[in-house]
This record gives sequence, structure tokens and C-alpha cells, in this order.
Amino acid sequence: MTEVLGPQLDRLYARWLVGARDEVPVDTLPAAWRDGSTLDASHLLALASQCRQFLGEHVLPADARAAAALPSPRLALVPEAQRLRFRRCVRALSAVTWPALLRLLASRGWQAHPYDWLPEAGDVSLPPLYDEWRAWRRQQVPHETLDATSWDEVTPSERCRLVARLRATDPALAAELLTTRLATLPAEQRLQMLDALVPALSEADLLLLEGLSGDRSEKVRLRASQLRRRLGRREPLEAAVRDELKADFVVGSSGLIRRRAQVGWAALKTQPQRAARLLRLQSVGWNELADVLGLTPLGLANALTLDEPQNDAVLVECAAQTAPVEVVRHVLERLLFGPAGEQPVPFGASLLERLTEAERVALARRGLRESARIASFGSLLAIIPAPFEVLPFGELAGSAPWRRLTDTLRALAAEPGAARPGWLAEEIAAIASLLPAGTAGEALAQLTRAGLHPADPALDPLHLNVDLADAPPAQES
Amino acid sequence: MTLSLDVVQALAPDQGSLVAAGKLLQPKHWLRVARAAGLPVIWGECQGSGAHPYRVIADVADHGYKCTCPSRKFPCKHSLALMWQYAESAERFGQAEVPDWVQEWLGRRRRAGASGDAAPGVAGKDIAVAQATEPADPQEAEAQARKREAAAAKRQAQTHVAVGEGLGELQQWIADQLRTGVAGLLDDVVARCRRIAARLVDSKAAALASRVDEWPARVLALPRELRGEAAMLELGQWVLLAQAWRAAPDDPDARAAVIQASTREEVLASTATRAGSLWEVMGHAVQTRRDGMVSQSTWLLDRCSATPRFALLLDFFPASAGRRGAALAPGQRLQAELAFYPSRHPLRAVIATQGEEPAEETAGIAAVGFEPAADPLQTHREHLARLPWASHTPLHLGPGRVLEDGQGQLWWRGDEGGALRLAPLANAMLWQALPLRSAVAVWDGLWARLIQVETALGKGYPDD
Repeated sequence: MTEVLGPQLDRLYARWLVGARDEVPVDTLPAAWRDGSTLDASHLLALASQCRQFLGEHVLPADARAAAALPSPRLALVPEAQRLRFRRCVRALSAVTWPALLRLLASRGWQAHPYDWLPEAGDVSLPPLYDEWRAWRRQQVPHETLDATSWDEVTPSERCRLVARLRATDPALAAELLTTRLATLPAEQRLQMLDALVPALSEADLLLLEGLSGDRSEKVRLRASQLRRRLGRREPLEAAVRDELKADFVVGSSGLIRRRAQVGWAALKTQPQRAARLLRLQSVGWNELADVLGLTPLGLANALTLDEPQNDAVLVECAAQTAPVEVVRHVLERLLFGPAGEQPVPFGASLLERLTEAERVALARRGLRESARIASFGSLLAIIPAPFEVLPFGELAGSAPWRRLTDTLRALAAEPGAARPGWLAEEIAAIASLLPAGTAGEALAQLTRAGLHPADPALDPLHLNVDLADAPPAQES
Repeated sequence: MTLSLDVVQALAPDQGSLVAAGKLLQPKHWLRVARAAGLPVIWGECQGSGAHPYRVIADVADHGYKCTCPSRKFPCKHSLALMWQYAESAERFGQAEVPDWVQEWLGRRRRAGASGDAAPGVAGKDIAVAQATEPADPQEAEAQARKREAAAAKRQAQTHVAVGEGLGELQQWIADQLRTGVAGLLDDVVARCRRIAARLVDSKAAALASRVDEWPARVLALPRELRGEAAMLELGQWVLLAQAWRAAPDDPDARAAVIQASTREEVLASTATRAGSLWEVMGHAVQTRRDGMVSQSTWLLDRCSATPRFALLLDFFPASAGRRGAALAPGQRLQAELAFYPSRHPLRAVIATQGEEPAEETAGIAAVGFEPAADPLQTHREHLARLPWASHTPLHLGPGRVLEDGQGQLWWRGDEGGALRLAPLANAMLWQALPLRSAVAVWDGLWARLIQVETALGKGYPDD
């Protein structure tokens, strides 16, 4: 019946679609309708549309395909009972605290449920356990290794990740690939690849880095020279540059009994002069600068007066990119634990990335206890790459960020109608991403005592921390 | 923990609110009332005009309050009625564990009576007047009742005449579209539908007017190649609906689709179609309408029924009232008795009574064991056989797979055969990645909108 009616209904639809002033010719109608009491167009339409609904069948196109199977999760998925709370966190957390919460869950053996949240293909801030899902979103099979063939098939960030891995497993092949194929990449990707060398930078990389001294991109040349300097190579400075650098600073001394060198910024008259000085500092190495000023590298780190934060930030970056790691540690010490009156100097992740993970955890823990410059748990997230394995509640409760948080909650409880500051939920999310479960449980109790209700949505990340404390059950093989 | 009527009187924004609150004092209006142990908090769930009962909370210490109704009076009649009941008969408020929604309110609010400070005072309001019952003289009351009945009959006759004229105009308008070409209608669909919808409003066919007015948004959301088919389907259903109403103006289904549905009170007063069971929320749909209202649809599935049985809770609130969170989250279960609107194919319902929260359970719909239908649209065809103008049918789909064709169109293919065109999905690739153990979708005549799926990984809500 469908075979007969279908074409007839199609003809009727085609007629009505373009419009027709005359009546529907009877011989075009299905036979059973010709005896009807009326051939009014609207009645025919009603009949036709119902026929389509009852008789219509959906024919699957031959080219319909399913997507590739979602790679199996590496860890256990967040359990059903926590998924509603987890979904609320997905919507509420920021780009800073969300990856931190994912890192916490990963450290406990849990992975986000893909139906609640799926990583974006290009999101590189996430724990590596989401790499397979990111590759799947790009509709690619993640490559486990890199060779001359797969070099061109992978995405730039995946290539960097694989090069970093290959340098650990097959350094000779990695060196060969870099020597022969690096030049074929665009400047931005060459730069990205140089950054991928940093975690395992060694003398063996010098040959490659020397080769890049004639690279066609100025940024690549500069980055390569910074890495060479980090390996202890000194690049000779022209006499004119040395003179200019000398004039950029004022070197003096202080102290009556023990004389101590002091390096401050020379007063320059015009903005162009100041801009030129900052530009010079971006292309000079820490060791060369120390030489020019007649100091040792560590002596320079010690002698800086650090009284002009915007300019000092350029020197700090110079240390991060080119100074030996002892200097980096010393600079960080000064930046985090300097005298209370000193203006804080902004510094980026590049300085912290020079330290090992254990050094960063130790620094964060000490910072929480001693540093007046760690004003928030959010800033602590930038220092620590993974949640604390141990942090007694006493240490947390004694910290300045905790006092600020609980004082604010008490003030809010005492002042009806006061608006809750926007940073409060973000701070709680940061704490939740940092603490071991036992401490998180105590923090939860304290925050509710300070005025937050246990069901307050701001506490969702802390609840997740506590509820997902137990390792997931062993997965079926 | 006491509360005096003076406080209720002082809190009321006007005398009208007190009168309205007075009408809600009878227990039949309240699914439950309770108080917390050790906290000066009372709460209740009041049957309002929405599909979900309004959730009302009050702090009897500082006189703070909160209600989920869309009223712009603060406090609303529900909050006043809750406090009034407590002031008069606190013993009716049994001690109970504080539910999550009350805890959440407690967590969000500031302590100490901000709302008490804002109370407008007692001038011009009298709780005694609000309590006063109607007429003393029975004969006079009977006469008034007869008068009201006669007036109602007269209004109904006038309405029938007006609606008949409006439907006649609509049919003529449809015939005109067929004569001049449906393609032309689609090019100017918003303006043309707006005009005929306005005529239907004038003719008192409010429900059909709303459907006509909302249809352009639905059809324009479709790919161009489906719009012609969608237009024929919809116009054909309008004709059928007009004919059905002419044949039986008092038929509840036709009346609900042309003029207006029964009121919530009428549905609750009737015991015709009730179903107590364990219901699970399948998903939501929120739509801002052209009339400035937001409609919120919540689809429920009866987990205890032998065959898939659905219910639709439909709420409306003004868009200007701002975004509202869904009262029920996808995946949530509730032990409740639903009262269905009278219909040959009962679907729309309100919650009549609600039991305690059922124990947490993670098993999905596939575990219920519904037999998958060989024809995935069988339920829709049964729906159409009873209500030929039905626009949406919820479907339970058995094991199958989501596929994508070369044009980017999504499809559902059942393991037992049958296929359905699917509406576009966010993260479409994700739902194609694994075989489905079961799925729930809403079919609108052209394609299905997936609202819940279940795979080896568990439950997912593509539309949430």
C-alpha cells in the first residue's frame, strides 16, 4: 500500500508546495479517497498528512555510520551517586580550578564520566589520562610513538608530547628526527618544540641548539640561545651592548661591617630609553649580565634591590629562561619569602617549571606556612602541580588565605544582606583541589561552622574531595 | 518556636494577599507540611497552578521565607498560608528530616530578619476579614449560584460561536496557503502565523492560537529540506483539530487543544486517571515562548509499569521572572501519585501526592526490562489514532545505535530493525560512540529528540 500511496502523496505535496488555483484532479487521488464527500484541499491535506504519519517509514541512508568507539577510560569513572554534584561543578568551576579538580580526582583513581564532561580536543591543561579522549574528538587514533612517517600525521601538541616521550625511550631517534625534520615545521611549531625539550634538557641537545643559531625566525634564535645559556654556554656580547647594559643599572654597596653589593635600576629620562632597556634584557643571558656588572650569577640574584616590580619582572623572566637552577631557587626564595615591606614582583609559570615536582610541593607547603605573599589558595594552585599528599589541618588553618576565607564567612554571617564576594567559591574550589581527603573533611566542617550551610553549592568540590577519598573498586579485566 | 498571626498580618503585602492565603489554609491544598528538629524552620509543598507543587519555606524566628511560585508579591500567598497554618495549628507540622531543597535555601540565605525589616506593617490589612467566610443567607447564596451558572452557560455558548468562527477562518486561511503555495508561507511564516494566531485569540481559541504562534520557531529550526513536510503535517493537524472540535466541542482533548486545558484544581479534584508509582525523570525541555512565558517540560517514566508509561509535567512562568532551576533533576526518582489531565491518551499530569525519597539506586531503564517494539513509532501511531493532532510522543527505544549519514544527519537504528531521524545533538559524536542499551526520545512527527540514553558506561542526558 505504501508503494502505491507514497508517489500519490508526493504529487499532492508537490502541488501544494508551489500552489494551485484549480481543484485537485480526481484521478491523481488515491482510489479510496475518490468517493469521499468532499475533495476540499484542506480536507485532503488532513488525510494526506495522517497517511504520511501512519505509513511513513524511515529508511536509513546507506552511508550512515557510527563514530569510532570512545576509548575506554584509564581510571574508574566518577560513580553514579556523585555525578549530579560533579555536573554542578562542571558548570560552576573556572578554567583555573577545573583542571586542578580533575588532577585531584585522577590522583585518587577517578576519571570524569564522559556523559557529564568531555575534554575539548585542544585543551592541553588537562591530566594526560584524557589524551585518548582528546585524540578521539579529533577523530584520530592517538599515536603511541613517533617516527619519520607519523611525524607529519600528528597534531603539533601531540608531536611535542611524543618527542618528549621519545627522548626518554630512544634519544638517538629523537635527536635524528629533530635534526632532520624540525626545520620543516612553521616557526610557531619550532618554538613549541623547543619548549618540549626543556624538561629533559641536556648537553646532548647542544648540537641541535647550535644549529638553530641561524634559524630564519628571530623568536626561535632567541629561544635557542636561552636554552644554550641554561646549559651554561655563554654568548659573547658586543662591546656596545656591554656598555649599554652597564649604563642600565646602578651597582653600589650597603652595610657598614659586611659590605653587600646592591644592583638597582638606573634612572632613564625617556620612555623610549626605558623600552630599549627592557628589550635588551630580553636577549641577554643571566650569566652575561652578571659578568657585565662584575658579579657572580648567584651574587646578582642576591644583589637585586627588587623595588620596581614591572622592570624586575623582566629580570625574573631572564633568570627563568637562562639562569642556572641554583639562581632560580634563590630568586624564588626572594620573591616568595622576601621582607613584608617589599613590593611583590609578578612571576609566571616559567620560573616554577625549572623546579622538580617535589621542590614545588615543598615550596607550596612552606609558602602556606610562612609567606605573606601567598594571599590566596588560587595562587597556590600555580605553584603546586599536584594535590598535597599530606597537609595537616593545623597547617592549613594557620595560613593567611584560610584566615581570610573564614573571616569573610564570619563577617557575612554577621552582616545580613551583604553580598558574597565572587572569589569565595573559587577559593573553596582551589582548597578542594589541593587537600588530602582527611584535611578536606576537617575543612568542610570548619567552613560550615564559619557560616556556610552543608548544602551550599560552593562546597560541592569539597564534598567531592571527601566522598571520592576511597580508591575505586578494582575494574573488571 | 511559635509564630503569631500578628506577624503574618504584618508581613502580608496587602489585604488581597491575606484573602488569597486564607483560601489555602485547608490541608487538601498541601502535599505536606513539616518542621525541622532543632531549627526554627518550617516547610511545605502546596498545590499551585503549576505541574510541580510549589515548595514553600519559612523561618519562624526571623520571618524569612521562600516560595518557588512565580508571584511577584513578597511574601506570596503560599508563604503567608504556610506561616498562618503554623500560627494556628503548629501541631500539624510533624518533625521531619530537612530535605535538600530546604537545606540549600538555608545555605544561601543570610541570617537575621532581612525580610522582617521589609515587612510593610499592618495598616489596611486584617486577618480576621480575610478569614471571614461567604454569605450567611442560604437562599441568597443559592440564588447567586444559579445566577453564576446561567452566566457561565451564556459565556460558554458565546465562546462556542466565537471559536467556531475562528476555526472557520483558520481553515479558510489554510486553503489559501495551499492555493498560493506552502513555499510562500514558509518564506513569510512568522508574520502570517502571527496574524492568524491573533485572529484565533480574538475568537477565544487560545490554546490553538498558541500552537499556531509557536509553530514558526519549530519549523524554522528544521533543515530547509524538511520544512515542506513539516508544514503539511502541521497544517493537516490543524484541520483535523478544527474538525474534531466542531464534531464534539465538549470533548476534553479537543477542548484542551483548542481553548484551554482543565485547570490544575479540576485535575486534582478528579480521581479519573491517577497513577501512583516510582517515576524517574528522563529529561527537560525549556522553551521561551513568543507570549513572554517560559514553558518547562519534564518527562517522567514509570519504572514499575509493564510497558513504558510516560508522564509530562508542564510548568509555565514569566520569562521576566528570570532563569529558574528545574525542580527535578534528570535521573532523579520520586515515589508519587500523578493525576493525569483527562484525555483519551493521558500524558500531561500533575503531582498529586509525593512519598518519601526512594532509596538510591543506579540501575538504568534497560534493567527495567521493557520489551522493545519492532516498530519504534508504534507508540506514536497509537497516540495519533486517539489524538490525530498530537504533536509530540515520548518513545522508549530498545537497544540500538546512533549513526550519522554523509549529510551530517543523525539517525537511530534499532538492533531489532527500524530507524528514526534524530534532531541534532550537542556532542553528537559522543552518543554515536557506543551501542545504546536503551534510549528515551520525544518524537515530533519528523524527528526524535534524544533525552536519555543508556550505554555500557551508564546513563547520559544528551539534552541536559
